[in-house]
Amino acid sequence: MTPNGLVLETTELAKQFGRLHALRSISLTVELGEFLTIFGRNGAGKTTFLRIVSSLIRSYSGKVTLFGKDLRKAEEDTRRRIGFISHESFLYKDLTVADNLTFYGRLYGVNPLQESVENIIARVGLEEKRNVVMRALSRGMKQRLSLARAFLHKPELLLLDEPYTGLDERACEILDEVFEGFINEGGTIIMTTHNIERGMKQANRIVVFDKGSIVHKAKTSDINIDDFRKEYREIISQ
Amino acid sequence: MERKGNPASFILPALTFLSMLFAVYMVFVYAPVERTMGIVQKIFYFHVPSAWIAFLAFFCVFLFSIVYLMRREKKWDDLASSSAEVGVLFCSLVLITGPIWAKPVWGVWWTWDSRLTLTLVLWLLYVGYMMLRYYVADPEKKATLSAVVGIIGFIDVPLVYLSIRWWRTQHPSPVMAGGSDSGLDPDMARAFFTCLAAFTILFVYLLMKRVKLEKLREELDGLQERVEETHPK
Amino acid sequence: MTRTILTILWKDLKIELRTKEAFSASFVFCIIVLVIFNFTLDLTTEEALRLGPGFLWVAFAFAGVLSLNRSFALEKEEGCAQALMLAPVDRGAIYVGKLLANVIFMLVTEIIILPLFVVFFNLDLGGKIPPLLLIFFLGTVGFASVGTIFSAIAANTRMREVMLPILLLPITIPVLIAAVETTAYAMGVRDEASFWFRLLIAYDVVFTVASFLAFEYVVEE
Repeated sequence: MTPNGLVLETTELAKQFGRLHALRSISLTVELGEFLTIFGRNGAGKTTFLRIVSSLIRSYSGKVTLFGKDLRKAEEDTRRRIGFISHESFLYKDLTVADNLTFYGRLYGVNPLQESVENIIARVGLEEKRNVVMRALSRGMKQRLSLARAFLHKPELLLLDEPYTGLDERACEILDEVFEGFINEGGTIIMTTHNIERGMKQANRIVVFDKGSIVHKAKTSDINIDDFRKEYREIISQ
Repeated sequence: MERKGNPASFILPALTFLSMLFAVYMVFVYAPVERTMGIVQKIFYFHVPSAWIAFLAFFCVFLFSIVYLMRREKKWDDLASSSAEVGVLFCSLVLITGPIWAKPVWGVWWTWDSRLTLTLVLWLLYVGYMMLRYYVADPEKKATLSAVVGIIGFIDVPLVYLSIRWWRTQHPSPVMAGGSDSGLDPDMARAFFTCLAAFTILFVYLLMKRVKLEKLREELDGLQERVEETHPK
Repeated sequence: MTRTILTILWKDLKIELRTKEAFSASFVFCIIVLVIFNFTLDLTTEEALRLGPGFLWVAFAFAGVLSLNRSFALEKEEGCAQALMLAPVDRGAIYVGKLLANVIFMLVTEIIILPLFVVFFNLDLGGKIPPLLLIFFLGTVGFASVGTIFSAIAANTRMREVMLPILLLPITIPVLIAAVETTAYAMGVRDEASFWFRLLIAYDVVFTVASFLAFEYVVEE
């Protein structure tokens, strides 16, 4: 897929507006099959980083290489290979389960559309709710539908922006199972969070952002979670 | 943080002051009093240059907005938003001096004359532009959104002018006596162009001041943040 | 490109068919405006014919603001606007899809209001309907072309409902005047309107293209 097995490589990625430096010279690589967690407090630049990688933000300096291609030159192609999950559902309240998925399936050019939609509805167990509007779903079903939406086009790289925000314990566990399955199938994940337990659980590598810079990098296998918690608290209390 | 001692920073305010002084002399001493309108005609020397500055300022908003969208640097947004503010100021002056002039000359405070109406529509457009800036919190989002409004709004100006002019011809109003378009006395013309030049210098000066103010405000925000970081409440 | 436009249009129509929010708001609003005009101005049939084009477009413009406001408010609700930007599609196509949907919503209201207007003021417009519909279409495209991009802009502000009319109405003055004058011509109250007809088309072209090009900046983060 990419010559050197890198899904993402950023070189001196920076984002500045006036006095505000959202990101300062971030150089980072993510390999195929990795699960990278980005920690940091609010305003540390985590979300900005994900937004640049997903081409929601287009004015930045430095270079982003995704799937071996320069992001500036292959925006639409890379967007097709990325799945994005945030704490917002990205669903239309007044469309049915099937219509929501059909809509996004069409935008992503999913083929064959009908079959893929039915398959994913079955996979998340919403067959009986197929023709129910999203507004009328329970919270759990809504979450399953939003996951189905993110996976419908079979992304290779999953970007997770604070996915646990506002979820209860059970819903968080469902997410973790889904992420584990995705990694086992050969996917790559980059997640931002400030929840240390959740962020450490499945990641193989972590970085900590502060004031737009990387202040800490480690492999999870080398980290003792209690030490890291202390260290993290020190970093963010500066 | 050099703030004083820069010789260039004296030239512009001094030039503005002297040229305005000279303009006032030209208007009230040098130029003759108009025969039919009398002393009230003097407002013409301020009314028309104000309108010129308003147009110039809105054209600057348009240009700076385009450059901003291409470069994405805050300074272009500062220039655009400062131009808009100065433009609205002079636009307001036109709308105030217009009726003051119209009442004694035409006998009415307001007429839906095409130039006056265009000025009013411009004023509405750019007040909207400033309100938009006020209601968007994120500075970069604010810059981008208002740049789009600044561009689309200016493209509209010729269409607004055309439509108002044509509308005027189809909805005739009482004929106005003593139009100011009849050839200008050469002394009056000299005074007028002096005013035009002085106002243009004033515009540049105000624009620079407004941009500087924006920079200082930004600097202050930065300092405040540092204070809050080192001395948390 | 066409696939994206149609997909967006399909989605907006589907939502509208289910909720009927844009339609019911603008339709009821239009009727209220006509009723208020009737009471505040106490019109005879001739007066209604002379002033009618103006009434209609005042009603259409304000009702249009109502349905345009909703256009991007519903995209913001669950972060859908962001999801649209994440999709591998041309952002200009999203604009065109939304524009088409908005034009359709506004036109449906206008087409239903027209017979009511005729009945309320005892007018006889037999035969003049097809040219009127063409003018409604052209005027609505012009109004909605800026309206769609400004709806996206207003959706980012704290005072969405107020910001849209304040930004939109002054900019649409040329298209509104042109629409009123051509409507008057089509109703037989004015003899000549070729200038206005050309202005109407020029406005449609200029602002559809300008908004199409500027749209991607508006929806960027």
